[in-house]
Amino acid sequence: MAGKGDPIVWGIVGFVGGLALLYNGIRRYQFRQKICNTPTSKIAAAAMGAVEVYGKVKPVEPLKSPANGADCTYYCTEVFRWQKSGKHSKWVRIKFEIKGITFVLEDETGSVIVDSDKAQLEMPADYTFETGGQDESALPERVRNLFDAWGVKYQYAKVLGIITPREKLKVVEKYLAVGDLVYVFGTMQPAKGQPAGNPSVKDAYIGAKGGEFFYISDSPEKEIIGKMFTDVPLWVGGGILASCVGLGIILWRIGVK
Amino acid sequence: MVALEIVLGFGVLLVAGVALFYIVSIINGLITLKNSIEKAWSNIDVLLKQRNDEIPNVVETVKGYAKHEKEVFENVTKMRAQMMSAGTVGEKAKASEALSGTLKTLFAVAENYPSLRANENFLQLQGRISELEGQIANRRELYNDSVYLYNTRIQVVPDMVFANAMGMREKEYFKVEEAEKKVPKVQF
Repeated sequence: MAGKGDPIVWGIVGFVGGLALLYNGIRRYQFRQKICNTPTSKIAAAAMGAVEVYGKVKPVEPLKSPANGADCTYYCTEVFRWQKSGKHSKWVRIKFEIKGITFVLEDETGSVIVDSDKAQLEMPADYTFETGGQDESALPERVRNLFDAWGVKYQYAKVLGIITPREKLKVVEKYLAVGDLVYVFGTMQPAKGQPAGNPSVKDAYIGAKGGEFFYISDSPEKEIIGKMFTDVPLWVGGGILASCVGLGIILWRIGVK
Repeated sequence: MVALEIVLGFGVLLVAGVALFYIVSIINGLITLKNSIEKAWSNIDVLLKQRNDEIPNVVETVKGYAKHEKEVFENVTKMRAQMMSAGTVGEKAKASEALSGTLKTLFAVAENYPSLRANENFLQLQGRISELEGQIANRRELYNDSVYLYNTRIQVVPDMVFANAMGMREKEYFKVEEAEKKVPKVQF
């Protein structure tokens, strides 16, 4: 039986992991090509099918992000606990909430509903807070309320005269603030239950369709393409290298000379 | 030695697969861009036709109130005929620009007739033409963006090689060159 330290295990991990890296690199390249090959439409001019639009977000129903209290149209709030796992420790997500799946995107020509369900959302964290190294009074009220509402234990204890948190917790929040500029690549489809009585809202919505590429980011298109331009060769090159090395180790271990 | 050969063979296979995928994606990308231009153009063409169809109604309505503005009506009719006979994208852009100009004059003339301005049918037609002009402007931007992407792609390496092999040529923008725009003469 091959143990955890057996090189064949590392060979298999390298081989399979390399192929996975390669596959992801190719998928990412396909995404990049789709973005490059699609011109950005004004919302009023966007036709049915694959579209790329850029505009300001407006809420369908106003939301407040629970941890930071920002006025937003979408938020994803996560709470992580620092947990030991064998010899190592890592952040483990213990609670999360996503709200505001549907929002309105607006440019100078009109607005359109975006149903972000099943979208690949790429945006940096807008708010993070980590307990540790400070006493209980440093815990922001909103975070405290969030922990209470979600039943997250955050008791502080006096150790050697210092009040410190018993558990290390982290709150990460991403949101689309009202008025944020957002890039959307998705499929324009016939309307389904838009808010009535608003003539400036297009009689269609952008959402997921089958396995079509659906991507939302708060970065402009140039930045997205630039990032993918540097990522793809690393994923593809790294994938080929790792799978070849992995295969080499496997062959060596099974005795092929 | 056999192991090394297998690993090298596998590596070459992967690299060749990636290279093949890259070539296919270039070809598919060029075809997608070409199709998106055609789609964007057909969306504009529909609007141009719709605008052309509305013009006789506007002219007839205005004629009922402003019979003496013969020259304006003749100009609109002439430009409409030019628009209908235009073949290429460039010709259509030029004719469309000229037609928009004459329509502006027609609506400016209508301002002098208060009873015409109060005519609901005329207001509706004027609104419809303005809406169509707005839609044409928005879609022209999308079309020109598509053409820009396509023309750039077929001129850069390595896409140029495949574009040439597939007989792809530069596409025309839907715009009137600044030098071709006529400055209207104003007579006092």
